[in-house]
Amino acid sequence: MKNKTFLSLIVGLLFLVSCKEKDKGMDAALAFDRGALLTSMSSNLIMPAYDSAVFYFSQLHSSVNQFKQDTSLENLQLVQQNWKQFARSWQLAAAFNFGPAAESGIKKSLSEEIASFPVSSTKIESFIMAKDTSFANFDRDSRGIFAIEYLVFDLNQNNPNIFQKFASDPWRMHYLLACVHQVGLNLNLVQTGWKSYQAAFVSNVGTDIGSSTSLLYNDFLKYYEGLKNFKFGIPLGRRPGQTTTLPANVEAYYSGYSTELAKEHWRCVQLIWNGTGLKGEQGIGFKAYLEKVEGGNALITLTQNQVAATQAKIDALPAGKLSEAIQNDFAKVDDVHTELQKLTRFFKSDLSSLIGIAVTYSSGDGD
Amino acid sequence: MLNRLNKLFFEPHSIAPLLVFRIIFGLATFISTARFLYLDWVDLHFISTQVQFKYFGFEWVKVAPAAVMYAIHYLMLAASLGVILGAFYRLSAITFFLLFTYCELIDITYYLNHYYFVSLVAFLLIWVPANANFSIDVWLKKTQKRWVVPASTINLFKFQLILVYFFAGIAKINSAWLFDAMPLKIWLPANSHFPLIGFLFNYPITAYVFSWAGMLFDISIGAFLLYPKTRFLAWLVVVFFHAITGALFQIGVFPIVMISCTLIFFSTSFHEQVLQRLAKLFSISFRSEPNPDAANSAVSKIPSSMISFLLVVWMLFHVLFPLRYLAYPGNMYWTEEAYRFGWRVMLMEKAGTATFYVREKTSQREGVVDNADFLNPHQEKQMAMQPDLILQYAQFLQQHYHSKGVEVDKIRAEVYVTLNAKPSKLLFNPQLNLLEIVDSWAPKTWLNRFEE
Repeated sequence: MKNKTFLSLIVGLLFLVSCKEKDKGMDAALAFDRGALLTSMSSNLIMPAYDSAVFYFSQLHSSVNQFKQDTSLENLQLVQQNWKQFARSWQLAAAFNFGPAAESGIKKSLSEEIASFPVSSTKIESFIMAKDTSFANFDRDSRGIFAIEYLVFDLNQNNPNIFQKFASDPWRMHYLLACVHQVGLNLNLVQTGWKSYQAAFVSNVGTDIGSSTSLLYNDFLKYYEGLKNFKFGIPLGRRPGQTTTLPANVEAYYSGYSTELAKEHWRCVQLIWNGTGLKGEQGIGFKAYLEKVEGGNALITLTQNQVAATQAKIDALPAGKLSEAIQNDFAKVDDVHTELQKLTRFFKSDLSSLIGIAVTYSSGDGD
Repeated sequence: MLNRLNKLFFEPHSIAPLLVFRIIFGLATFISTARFLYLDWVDLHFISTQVQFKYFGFEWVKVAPAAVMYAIHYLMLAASLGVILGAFYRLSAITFFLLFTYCELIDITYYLNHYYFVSLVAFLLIWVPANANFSIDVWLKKTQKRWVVPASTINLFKFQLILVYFFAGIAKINSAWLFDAMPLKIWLPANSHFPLIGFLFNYPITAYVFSWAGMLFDISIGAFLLYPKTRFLAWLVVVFFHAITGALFQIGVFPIVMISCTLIFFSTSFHEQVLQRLAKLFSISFRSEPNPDAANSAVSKIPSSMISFLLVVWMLFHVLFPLRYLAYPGNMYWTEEAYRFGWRVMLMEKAGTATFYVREKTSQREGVVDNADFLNPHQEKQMAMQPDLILQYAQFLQQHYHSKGVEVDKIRAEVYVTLNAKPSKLLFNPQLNLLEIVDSWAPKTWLNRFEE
């Protein structure tokens, strides 16, 4: 008897609810296809990002070899040019620091292994002095992309000065080659790794911790916050306890290429948000995901508005070196940080909450 | 009324359900602790954290050194084993209760209703003679063998279980849950890859069905479990309900705990059969003698009036404590006042972004904190939406920078919180100096009101 009442109560309520819901549409096409997101992301952005980084790396690599054969000013300029292109192509790959790029054992994630900044000139010089190119240490600020940069750029664009240093100490060249080798080794491993990982990545369509969507999202967030905190916040002296700005802590301090790289980083954030491919393909990003979930459209509007506000401040960054702009045009750089800060919550809590992505391993009560 | 209560408390009852409950609960805590160790959450939750968020009144509970934390967990395994086997039972039960509760009290960001439940049950197990049969203690003649116990030793656990479901059901009676199917409208589509029925999760109607069914289940399951004719079917529904929610959501061992504990509602003969099968399996003798000590079921020298009084106080407390939210104005989901210890599970989708600004005294220079420097993702997630934890974190930051030689005179925070898919809003005025706010049980008037 009780059971029957219970059952009829449920059926009745369901009927009631279904009537109410009809106008909203009952179409399963409303549903978001996470598999499509993962396919689009991996084939339009992730794989091309690593391919592109590897391509520009190989150009850098051969120009460094050429520079070693013929240590001339022209060849140095070629190395510098290729370094910039490679550093620029790295920006997108840095957003996908999971899967084959994730840390494992004593090996840190790819970003940490090859793209730590600021590098320590003291450490680099002392390793060169000690003729030590083994990298058998945990001083990740003595190698990688920005160690290469330190070696091949001069703060005052005084190329003959660099040239002189290479000419006077063969171990400087050995160290440069070792750095290039280390970057190439790590980068190639990850690029190859992705080729076999892609299928697993695309087929893991869950939203729990460790699922592809969760990995993609969590790294996207870290990548975004990295732009705000490390490329602007710290150089601007925005950390508690910082008493001054730290212009030398910008990414790519020696080449003065920081603004360009930060702009590229920012562009890549939007590629992932929009799902636009590296070659401009129209794909599926987090924005498309939001279109299909409760409350998503409101969040898209808010996010897009703040993206536009941020873009305006980024466009207004002074030309030239970011490290100098921080000293001479502080407000303009600080504005970028402020706008990025305002954008954070949309990417951080609002997005993950609406699409129901797990951000922690621990069990929850579901709040 | 008094008579009825007297019967519920003191009527002689077969000890069998209590024995099975002891074994099953011990197994559940053993599995839970083993899982915790296996996932190395001892490290993740305790050892590798820099900050521990405290329970009000338990600020003195500190995390122990790594070796001790591991030792505690191995001791809990041993204590669970002791409970299962009824070996050094009281010592085991006390040890488990103290250690488990200690671990829970270390960091409030790991608060889970079912951990609270486990603590309560572990506490109650200390006081009941669950080792008075089918146990090592009896075999060692440390304890007098019993076939009959006062009914309260069994009914108390039933009471505790019914409360969990009933309050969880009451909590679901709110407009977001019933009429917007929130948060299931978020959580179900996120699980559309679920085998077989996953495709259904993309339809909003499914979220409504689950919301209403969940509410009705929680509200009524206690009654259906008590009523002998519906009991078995009700338990199957329990299994189904917890299996589904366990598979869908990251809720850990909660389903196992509830599925196994609800067996206590089954009949005496069921539990006797279970014990006989177990006995056969381990070739030990377990033969029920016809109520040899029926007349003398009391297990304690404490007068029964005293026991009645304690039982009533305990029960009243557990009925009233979850209801304390009624004393607070405002939206509980927003303020989180009286949210914990109220059997509110899987009720809301809430997330926040909390940005802390720290001002140095002399220079009046303000810096932005990167929370990841101090908190793990779980702690940050919990802190960023819970007002009391936000205050604790501000205190921590002040002390941290003080220890670095930076004197801080103001910490403010911009905290945006999204609740059930609504656009995120400021939790409180970002100009407030959090260092000046003292946390208490009083309503948190410094919070913004939740705008519907």
